[in-house]
Amino acid sequence: MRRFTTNTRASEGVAIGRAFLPRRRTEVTALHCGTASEHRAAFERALSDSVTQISALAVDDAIFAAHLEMIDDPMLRESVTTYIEQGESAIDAVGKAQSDIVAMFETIDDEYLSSRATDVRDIFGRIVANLGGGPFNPFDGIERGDIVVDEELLPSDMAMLNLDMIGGFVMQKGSQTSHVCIIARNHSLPAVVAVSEVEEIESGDMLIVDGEAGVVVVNPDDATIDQYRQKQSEWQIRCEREQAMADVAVFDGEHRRIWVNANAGSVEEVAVAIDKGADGIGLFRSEFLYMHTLSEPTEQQQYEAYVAAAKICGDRPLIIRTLDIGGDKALPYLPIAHEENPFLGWRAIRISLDRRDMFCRQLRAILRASSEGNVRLMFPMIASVAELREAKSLVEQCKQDLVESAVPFNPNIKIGVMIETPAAVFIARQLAMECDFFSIGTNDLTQYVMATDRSNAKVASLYNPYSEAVVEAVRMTIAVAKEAGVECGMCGEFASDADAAELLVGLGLREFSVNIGSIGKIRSRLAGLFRS
Amino acid sequence: MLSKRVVLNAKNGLHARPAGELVKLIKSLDGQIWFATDARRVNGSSILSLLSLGLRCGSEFEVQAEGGSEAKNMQQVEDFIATIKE
Repeated sequence: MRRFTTNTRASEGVAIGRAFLPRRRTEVTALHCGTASEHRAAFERALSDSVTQISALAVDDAIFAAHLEMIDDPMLRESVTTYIEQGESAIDAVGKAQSDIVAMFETIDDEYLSSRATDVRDIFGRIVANLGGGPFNPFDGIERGDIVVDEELLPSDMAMLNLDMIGGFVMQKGSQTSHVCIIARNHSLPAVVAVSEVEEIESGDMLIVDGEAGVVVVNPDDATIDQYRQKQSEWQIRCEREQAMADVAVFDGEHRRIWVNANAGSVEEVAVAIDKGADGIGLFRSEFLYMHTLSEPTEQQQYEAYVAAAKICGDRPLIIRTLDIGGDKALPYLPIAHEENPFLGWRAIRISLDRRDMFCRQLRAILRASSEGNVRLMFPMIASVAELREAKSLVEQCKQDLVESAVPFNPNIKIGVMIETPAAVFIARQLAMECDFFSIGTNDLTQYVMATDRSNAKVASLYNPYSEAVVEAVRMTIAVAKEAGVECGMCGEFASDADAAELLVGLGLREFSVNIGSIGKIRSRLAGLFRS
Repeated sequence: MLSKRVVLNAKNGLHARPAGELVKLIKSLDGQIWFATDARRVNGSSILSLLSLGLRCGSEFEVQAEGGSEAKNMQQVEDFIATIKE
């Protein structure tokens, strides 16, 4: 029996099951026999197929043009053929050459430049697929209740995973905000990440995952299993009790409705949230459309995604936040120079107002979707009245375009502002005169009010939404909204913290937008406050 | 062989897109082009090697032209590098 622990809060709950290690592409057993010259011929064929495919994509796309140069690089061919000559199969040789080249990139001391290893993985993935390795599912053979153990899982991996099947996750890398953790929390799956000892876990090992405590037990003895079965059933009972509350409308002492909305990062998550009883979507992060693609999504692609989400919501509100990227997250088609202070830099609305064509494509897509549901529009990172006015004037311009082309939209679409900078708190009164609603983003607000970089362990304890100053900023915002008659919600992590519910209700908050996994928890806590 | 010290002024460093264009240019020349930093020397017709140098804004490196019309080739490469702004 071995026990590993971590301090990272990933996703709570207890899972007991067998370890399942996803297969990597290079482990595919096909194509393992044959002579060196047969392997060389197979590789050359796969390479030329890849060149043909990428050439078609590269016609008007500079990124694929660069991929074409990469795949045609003599270094790649030499590296693979050398491994084949040393007796490796074509598929293993490609895998080893990929590791060598990726390793070379990962030593670059610049996050943006070293992240180009992603391009390398992409072209190698294509060669492997053309070698006959794909279509390929890393989770083939997984059984119900298995616990997925890996270094990290990419969004493309996660897309192939049937989440209803599995028991939980143990990852070597990752943080509270990594993709796998968000998905795990939204599906109430226990997860523990940042476990450096993951390599010691073998496929088939019996595992206990305690997400709340950040503990993984490998091959536990019977007494330990019994102890955790007890904890697991307590957790399951709590979940069921909360889930039973998911559809119950909550009212305050004055019979005013308290709304429990959810935050969603994709159309699928919108569906899960509504299914789990959300009153609406208080924050629809539009980033998912822009990330993991090599070119900007078209207006039509965006429109289709927004409409799909709006239709799932029906009458319930769907608040679409315009693109919030920058600093720490760059896009392949929108390079962002290295910044000393990315969170104080070129991000969110600042990028949108500089890249007007891109911004207007998004605004038109949202406006068009507004004719198909209860769609609202929200701007991130507003710090001045001028920014809001400028953004609104672009909305007006887009409305005009749509009128001229006789495309339907909701002319009275509600426009809101994220309150996530201290500046926005101070000018809340002026902002309220120019918009229909506020949504308090406590994650950034805490970081900016407390002047604390939460990824810096030395000061992380200052990153606390319960700090007097943050609570005061929240209080001021809600009070101003009430006075001005604009709606005010909260979509930061603080709203998902059940222990904060009483405080927030006391400050006047009546609209919570929470993690999908917290809907029942927050609803039952709120209902408890007014049950008499 | 000709060689010359060059400073990269591209805001985002040498990333995939401009590197792809640079390699394309180099392959069209009648001689070889090499890039050398304090650590390594790589062939300019290999985009993977070139990217692996991790050249960022302000990085100083040496361009070497070997064979063919060296002076002309050097000039073309130098001019192209100066145009990479983003």
